[in-house]
Amino acid sequence: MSPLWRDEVGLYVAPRRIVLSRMKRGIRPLHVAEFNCPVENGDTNNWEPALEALQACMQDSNWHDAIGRLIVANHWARYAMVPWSDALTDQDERIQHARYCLSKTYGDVVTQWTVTLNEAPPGLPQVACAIPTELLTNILKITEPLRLRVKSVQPQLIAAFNSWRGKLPKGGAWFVTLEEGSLAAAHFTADGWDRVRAVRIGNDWEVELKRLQTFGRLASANAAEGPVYVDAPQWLRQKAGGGEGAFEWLDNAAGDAANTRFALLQRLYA
Amino acid sequence: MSAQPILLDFKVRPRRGGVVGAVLVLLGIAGVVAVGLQFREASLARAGLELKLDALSAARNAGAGAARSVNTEEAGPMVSELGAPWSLLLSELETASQDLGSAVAVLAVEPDRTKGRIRIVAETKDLPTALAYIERLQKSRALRFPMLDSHERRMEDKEQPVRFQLSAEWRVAS
Repeated sequence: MSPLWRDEVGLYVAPRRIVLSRMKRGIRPLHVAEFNCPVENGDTNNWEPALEALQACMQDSNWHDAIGRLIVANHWARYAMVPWSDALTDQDERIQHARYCLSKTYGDVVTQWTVTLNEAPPGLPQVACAIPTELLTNILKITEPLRLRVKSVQPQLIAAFNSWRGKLPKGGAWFVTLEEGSLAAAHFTADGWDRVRAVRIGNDWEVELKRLQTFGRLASANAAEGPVYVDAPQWLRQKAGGGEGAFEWLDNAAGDAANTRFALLQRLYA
Repeated sequence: MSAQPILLDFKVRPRRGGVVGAVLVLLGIAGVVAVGLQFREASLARAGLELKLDALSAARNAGAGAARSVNTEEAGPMVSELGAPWSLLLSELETASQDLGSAVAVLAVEPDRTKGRIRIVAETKDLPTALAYIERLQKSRALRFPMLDSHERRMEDKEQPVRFQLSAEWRVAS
């Protein structure tokens, strides 16, 4: 393997699922391995089962000696929009400001989380995201001894939005990503995001889908909100039966047949 | 139809330009290096040309100086003689002779450039005429203090004329 073209391993870590995918780099990149590992006793409030499952999965040498791209599920990510401030002079001050904005919504727990901001032109609001520092540290403790150097860590909403952006309009729309137990949505304009929401949802999908369809109808009726684009596993789309025109499913050609995130990981490489 | 990407990553530090920026920076550095090398090359070429120019100027000055000195040495007497008031002198000598009935024949006129004097050799029928001629020349505007240096009667000649030599200070007309 050329050090200039190291293979890449995508890792999706969620409370109830670990998904791994390996891409062989070269002139013609090729997916050489995929693995979907359910997490027994997975719980949003406790990431230990997910880490144990990840540890077990990583024993396979298919996931060693590569560059890693980690996606953390929305269950463990918190989002907020941070208004631009001319008084802030450097990145450290902006991070502190973002932490303050997050703490207003989520409380003091944010102090134990790692915060980052997106790159945005001066004058525009920025997207702030926080994930638990302990979770991130423990994942890296598992990967580093295996020569799996993680060079990218993104929350699911960001990774999904970027992977679908080719099918999204330039602005004036909602992007929603659904996962078992979580829903995250962002409203975007031509300048970037202006609103972001992330909520935990229950296991009653009938109720959740009706709620989403209502939201989609309301949003579509309002010109300022725009259409709603939804990224969700295939099984959930089938259950929704097409959304009744309230929103548009984002569907890749290959599909995401199982309740996995292979397609998301694959789109990372695209 | 394509939304703008959201560049948010916990590992990747905020980029200042990405790959395009890095390429532009490298191109800029390469350009600066190229211009620097070109400037250095041009400076060296200029320095070489200046050295050649200095050498050529020195050689030209040396040659010109030598030529000038040689020319000056060679042309000096000529210039002095050309600049001498010959017309006036000869006119005065002839007038003085005519005043004495053309009794004096001037045989030679020899200037002494370094001393600013002139020596005149002439013949006449006798010594008093020669002395009258010298006295007449004392009124000349071209000569000052004409004096008889020598005289002799030329016995071998049938008419036995008196040949005399006089010298005077050659006055440059102002």
